Amino acid sequence: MRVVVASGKGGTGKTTVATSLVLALSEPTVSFMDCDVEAPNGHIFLDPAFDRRKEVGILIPEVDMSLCTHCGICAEVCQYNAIAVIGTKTLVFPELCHGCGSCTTACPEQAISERLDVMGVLEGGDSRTGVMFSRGLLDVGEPMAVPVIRELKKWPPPRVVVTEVRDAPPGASCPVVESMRGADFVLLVTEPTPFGLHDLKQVAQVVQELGLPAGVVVNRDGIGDDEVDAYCRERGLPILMRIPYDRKIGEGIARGLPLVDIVPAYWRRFRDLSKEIASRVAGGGP
Amino acid sequence: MLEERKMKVAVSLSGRSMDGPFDARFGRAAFFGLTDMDTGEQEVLENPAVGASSGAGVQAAQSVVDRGVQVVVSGAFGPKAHAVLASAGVVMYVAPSDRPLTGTEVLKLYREQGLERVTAPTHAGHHDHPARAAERGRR
Ligand code: SF4
Ligand code: SF4
Repeated sequence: MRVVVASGKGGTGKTTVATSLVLALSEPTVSFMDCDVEAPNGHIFLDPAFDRRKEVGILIPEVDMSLCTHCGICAEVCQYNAIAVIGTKTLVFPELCHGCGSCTTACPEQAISERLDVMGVLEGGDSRTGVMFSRGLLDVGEPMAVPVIRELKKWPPPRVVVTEVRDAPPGASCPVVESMRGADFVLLVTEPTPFGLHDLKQVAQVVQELGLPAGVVVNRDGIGDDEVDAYCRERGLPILMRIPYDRKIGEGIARGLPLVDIVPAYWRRFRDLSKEIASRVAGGGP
Repeated sequence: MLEERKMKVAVSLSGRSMDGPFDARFGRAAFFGLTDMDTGEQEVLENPAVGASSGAGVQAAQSVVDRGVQVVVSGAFGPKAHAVLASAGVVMYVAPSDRPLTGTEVLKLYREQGLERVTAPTHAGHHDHPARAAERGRR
């Protein structure tokens, strides 16, 4: 079972929910994947000992000028316009290249070889409670998060995975879509405020486009209004958990404590949440 | 056969005519008005890059170079368009942006040497990041 924890914006408690879910399960067959490659923070709560590392990126073309006939085919097939062939020069613009490989395949002279353009690194290891932990780290200044997330998802885990929990980046853009792709269920974390609702709508739209079943966790319940509830009712989005607003929780999280350690009653609640998700996935319905 | 001395000038346009407005963008201009300075012959080239999701400057530059253009007049040249044009030996000029001009007026300014020549990109690229971010996987 693959569950993605997502949120329309940062700071709603997405990582709190994702890490608590993993801690409540804490079995060797559970895997936590931090897909927020621009600002991963799951490690703060899960305390992994990293023992695996891999550089990742995209394969960009390198033209062997002694073989190139400047026929221009590579420039024509590149849908991102990352290559120009000017007279006897073949120019590659790595910053436009998406590593699709079309030019390499199309070159009639086999003049193109590929080299890895490193965009970030994957790191993995077991967490303090013995779950598989992995994360991607995008290099500073690197604009493309998607390839790193894609490689993270493909990175073979050290053991059999029964439950995978992915912490998605905040927002509703392409890295979020990539984090959700291939998942069985999306858990949307929101706050019961007008801003929370606005962001929830955007990310719910992405989930709908992907055709994935979803449920909502309302965090800091009680601070706002009933609009989120009304929206969820109207859209048929089940509210699976409410985490009441509590100063003690906020302070604990600021100190790097997982929710389940701050309020131990949440161990049970998150186990129940995981069972509820599993039954919804098995049932195939929303 | 192209003659040795033949000189072709491209002006970025937003309409299909040299008498229509000049477009200050290079990669995203809808058309290029090409003028053969020796014969006076003119033609309008559609910019294939106008709807490109990425690398518009590169593709636009490639298309004018493919037409044998040696001089390009626009309003701005990004780093990649500049690199492609420079590697083809194309000379770049920018037209003034303080008033609306037609393609023909821009060409007249070029003839009268009233344009500013550029030898370096006029701005940092702006299309790469959204374009790269827009990628949704290997389809
Ligand atoms: S397709 Fe191959 S031979 Fe043709 S221009 Fe590109 S690299 Fe050179
Ligand atoms: S790998 Fe794809 S995106 Fe990159 S230059 Fe080749 S065709 Fe273009």
